[in-house]
Amino acid sequence: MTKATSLSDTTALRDEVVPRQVRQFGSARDGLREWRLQRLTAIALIPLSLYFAASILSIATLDRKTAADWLSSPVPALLVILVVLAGIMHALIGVRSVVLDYVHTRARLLAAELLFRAVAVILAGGAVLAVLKLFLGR
Amino acid sequence: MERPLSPFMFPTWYRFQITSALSILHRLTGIALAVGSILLVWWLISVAAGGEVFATTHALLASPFGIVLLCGWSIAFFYHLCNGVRHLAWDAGYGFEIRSAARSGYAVLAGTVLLTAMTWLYVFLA
Amino acid sequence: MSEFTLPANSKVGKGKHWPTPKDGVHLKGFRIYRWDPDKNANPTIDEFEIDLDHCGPMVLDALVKINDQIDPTLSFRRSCREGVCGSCAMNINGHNTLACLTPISSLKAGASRITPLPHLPVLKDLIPDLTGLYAQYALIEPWLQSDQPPPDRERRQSPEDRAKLDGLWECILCFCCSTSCPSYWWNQDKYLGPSILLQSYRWLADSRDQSTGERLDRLEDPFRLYRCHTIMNCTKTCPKGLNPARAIANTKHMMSERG
Repeated sequence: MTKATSLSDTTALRDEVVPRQVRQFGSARDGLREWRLQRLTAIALIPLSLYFAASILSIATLDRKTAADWLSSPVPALLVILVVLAGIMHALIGVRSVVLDYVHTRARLLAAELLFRAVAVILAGGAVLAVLKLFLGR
Repeated sequence: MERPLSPFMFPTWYRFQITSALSILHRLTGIALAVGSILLVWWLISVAAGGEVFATTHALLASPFGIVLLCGWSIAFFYHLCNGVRHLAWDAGYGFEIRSAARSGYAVLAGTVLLTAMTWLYVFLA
Repeated sequence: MSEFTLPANSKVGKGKHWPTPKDGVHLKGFRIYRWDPDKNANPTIDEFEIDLDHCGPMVLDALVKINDQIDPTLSFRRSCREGVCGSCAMNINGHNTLACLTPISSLKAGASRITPLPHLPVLKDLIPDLTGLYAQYALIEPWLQSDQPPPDRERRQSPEDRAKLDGLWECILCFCCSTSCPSYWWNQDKYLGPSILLQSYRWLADSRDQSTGERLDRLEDPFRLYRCHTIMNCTKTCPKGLNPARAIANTKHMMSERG
């Protein structure tokens, strides 16, 4: 075995390097907005998701016409659009937070971010268009 | 030679507690619901599209596989909902004592079971 | 990606079984994590048995006895042996706590496992490298900051304002909480962790401190503060019965009140 000077060297170096790593570029001055949006969408989703779940429970087991009729009236159509938008926003913040916890490579983070946003936009757009089509009766 | 990293992982080296177990469950159900939202949006689209698309989607959801999927989805939904309310209470500054955190955790589990059971009872009776 | 398993050089092997004491009546086994920087080998778990009739009541007493009578190379930190210095923090049976405050009689029957505080580089045996935690402590500038010139006497505070520091000043920086937190395991280079955030709130809550805004600025970061997901391992494990989870929630609340 070579003389274990390497360990004490790293020990001495670490006292200089670690504080610099901890400080890095300073704080991002960001995080409150996302935290708050997560909570606001959560509060909105309590009544909205319960309404949605209760509605499809009595409709989903039935035929298409009942479901289509339900979404052709203004209040259900509006509420379903709201639950979809709030739900997707809440989910987007949630999965981004999960990725931020576990993924530490810049490129992978960026890729995940782009993927999640694209999926969120497509889902939101698809759902809103579907409801609008039924509401406008075309 | 590098210094080893001290052992850390659940449950071998760090004991699971009700609080940490429910916390990871919140995350897992959240991910499940996020994935499940694709199915949900697809159902809306199928209603709008009608015809063949709706028939296929409906057949899938009514199949045994679909029922199992919906059952899992409903458990995840009610758990995430109940535990979400618990999290909102924490954010408002309530329930931080270890004993109340454990108690609210068991309440969340009970609520999940109750709401899921009520839902499926309704589906099969109606 | 976060590593959810131990790296190759950190996997724990089977170690040595030290001789059982002769004619002991009340024997107690301890399975203790060992790593020696001078040997080029993976860490191991050594098994010791001690005679409880000739040992003090606490886990720290058992460690001292092993170090004194069985293996003098067993290394661990200890100082006050009464829960005010925070040196002997370690993981006992899968739970972080102070060895000096844990009665051997409170442990489950059978051999008890003792490992260093989780997810830190090991210097030797039960001694982890705390450099990162101390650097993070320095980051929050843990001292009273005020533009007012120092008065002739102490800076006064009403009894109500003083009461707001209870449950905060008692923290001894043993780091049981930070090293019990999964969020801290995955992001310990960026997330400040429960112990530092509790210490930080001790200054945020101090009516005499005038740097509240700057302190909050320093914390507002997706990593430094918002990696806390209220997992509650910190509060559960604190050997002083403090509540880091609540201190962090209060910090988030202050952040939210700013606008």
